[in-house]
Amino acid sequence: MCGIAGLLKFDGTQADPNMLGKMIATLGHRGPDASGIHVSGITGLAHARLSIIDLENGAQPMSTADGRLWITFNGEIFNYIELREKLIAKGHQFTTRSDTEVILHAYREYGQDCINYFNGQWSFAIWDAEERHLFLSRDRMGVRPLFYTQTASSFLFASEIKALLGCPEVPREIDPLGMDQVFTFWVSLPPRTVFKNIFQLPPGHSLVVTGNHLRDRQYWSPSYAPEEKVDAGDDRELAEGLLHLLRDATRIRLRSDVPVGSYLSGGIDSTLTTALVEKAAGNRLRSFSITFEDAEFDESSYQQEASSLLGTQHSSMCCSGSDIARVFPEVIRNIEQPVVRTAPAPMFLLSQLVHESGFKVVLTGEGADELLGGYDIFKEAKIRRFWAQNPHSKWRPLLLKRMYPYLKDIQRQPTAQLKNFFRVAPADLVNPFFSHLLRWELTSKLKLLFSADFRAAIGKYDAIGELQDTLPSEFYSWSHFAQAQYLEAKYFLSGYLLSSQGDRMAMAHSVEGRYPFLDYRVVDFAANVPANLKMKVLNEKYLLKRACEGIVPASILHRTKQPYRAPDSRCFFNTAAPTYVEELLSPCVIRRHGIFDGHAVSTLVSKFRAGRASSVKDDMALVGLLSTQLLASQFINQ
Amino acid sequence: METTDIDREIREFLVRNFLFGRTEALRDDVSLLGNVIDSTGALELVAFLQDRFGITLEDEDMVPENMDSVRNVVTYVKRKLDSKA
Repeated sequence: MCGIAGLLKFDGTQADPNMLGKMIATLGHRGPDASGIHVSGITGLAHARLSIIDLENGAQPMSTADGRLWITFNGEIFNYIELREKLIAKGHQFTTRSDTEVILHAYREYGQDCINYFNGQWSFAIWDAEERHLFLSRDRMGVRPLFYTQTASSFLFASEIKALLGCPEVPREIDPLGMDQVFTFWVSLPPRTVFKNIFQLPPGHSLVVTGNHLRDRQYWSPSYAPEEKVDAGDDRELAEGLLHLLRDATRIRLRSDVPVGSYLSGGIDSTLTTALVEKAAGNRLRSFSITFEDAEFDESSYQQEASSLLGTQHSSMCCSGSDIARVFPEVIRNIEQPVVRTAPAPMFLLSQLVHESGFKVVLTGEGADELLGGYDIFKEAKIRRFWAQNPHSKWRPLLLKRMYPYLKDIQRQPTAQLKNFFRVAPADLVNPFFSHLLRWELTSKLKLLFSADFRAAIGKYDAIGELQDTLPSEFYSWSHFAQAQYLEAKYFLSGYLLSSQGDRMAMAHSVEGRYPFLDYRVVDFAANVPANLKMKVLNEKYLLKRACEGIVPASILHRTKQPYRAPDSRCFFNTAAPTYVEELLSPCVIRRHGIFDGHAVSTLVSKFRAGRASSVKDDMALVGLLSTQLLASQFINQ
Repeated sequence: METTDIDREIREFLVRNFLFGRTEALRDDVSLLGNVIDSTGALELVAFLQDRFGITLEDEDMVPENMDSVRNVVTYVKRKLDSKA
């Protein structure tokens, strides 16, 4: 895995190698093994390399023999071996064994449609000297990041925003609408980011830049069969089909010239991934996990059980609240957007452990919950719809207790109280965002913390309305379950899990994550599995569990699902809290950044200091506030 | 205790506890549940009502008719206090 950057001048001047050098220097953590710059006239490409495939000959930027095409590439094309053979059969000649060279030849052979042949995780830019344009692409699910901006004279792109902000011409400003999105959906809606005039290439998109003209094209998006066309399906056959695809997805993700390890969380997804890796690799695997001092979040007993049964050589790191508070500034510097949860922080520490253990590549179970129906938000929507069919039923609302078994404040409440919060109004049932509205409305409450000026800058902007405008027309033909899955897979997965908690946390310590569940063949297969086999009644990931039988230990297969969570705001309010917390929440720093209202902040902080804060909303408010203040301090008003 | 005092104390609590001190965000025309109080914050309201007014909230009392607006909460508390007196 690597860091990439580049620029295209359209004011008649030449690309500046010093600027490229500055940009790529900010991405050294993504690629500490080597770096390279190529400048040819108006364009320049830069690369920071984490050597994983073809260690000797894979240096970048790389060109075709005739010098027509130059590429800077972050990621992996896992099916490069098969593609290479195909291209050789068509007369292409290769000088390296790298997947980078395969991209160049595939582009030459298939043009911009080459991406349809790739099975992998990538962001890259190709300078086509003949066409005089830059061709940029990002993988289907958004595993690898790609940001860009335009100034009066240049188009600039990079793996991370900090590389763009290093250019004096690029303004450092928070985008209030991007913030409004994050404080609604937890993510900004691509192409927007929380930085004004800095954009992200959406997952599944490519971009052609000719001079100062940009042409964006979506080449892939999650899609589901219309509800009436989904076959009932046979459990056993579908489970076998799924397992077959997962085996192959894992096999090609082991292609590496350096050792590969795995994350083992103690849940089904990572245990299956680890089991498949071990079987395919044929040797004793290294596995890694996070444990927590706080029993509420800790899954170490399941991790040890899985490791022992699978025979992995396991390493774990125990994360405390103090650890989270200590690394949080560095975490936000890498994430480059506010977060309302601290969960990325332990992932940051985990990748440090992996790095210190001498590993560069880990396979993980990310994506299974989105694709195969593992999330509580799917269960919540299903229960609420079921109840709404017979609102006067006495026993249907009792199912509300089946939601969120790990949230004590939910479980402690009488059903009568839960009914108040999860009740369904008739209008809700036809809302396309039925599954997610409660979560978004709750997160939106945090905007009460914004200052009057910041709220004025947001004005009457309607983030949910904007999202609704972008829904594909087919969305309305999908099952309610598929609609909820689409929202998770399209936005939350790429914008939060794969970036804030994925790429950014792993790459902070030069570690590449690989995700068998996100192989596009698995994604397409899962999209056509009937909803009632993803969540059978209220049994989440039913089909995956069928596929895991005999591979994943029964005790893990049938355990109560516990989503990955970490201690939140309590980390920042104790006697050992780092000094930055008090400083960033002080009235003068709040005023300096201007994003939050001083009185609202002090009301919230007082609640924490008095030990009265206990709700999910308070937790999210504090973490959202602190992460935003860190972001502003690190990137805007340094 | 007068109804106006109960009303004032409940409003102050809601604003301070759930609305980050923003008085203008407490509107009488929107539902309290979901809009002001979230599902995990409800326990805070229950604890406040019990501690401040010395009443006991039964599970079956936690219905929208008692909880969904400031007026409903005030009426409920007043009724409980009167029944104690």
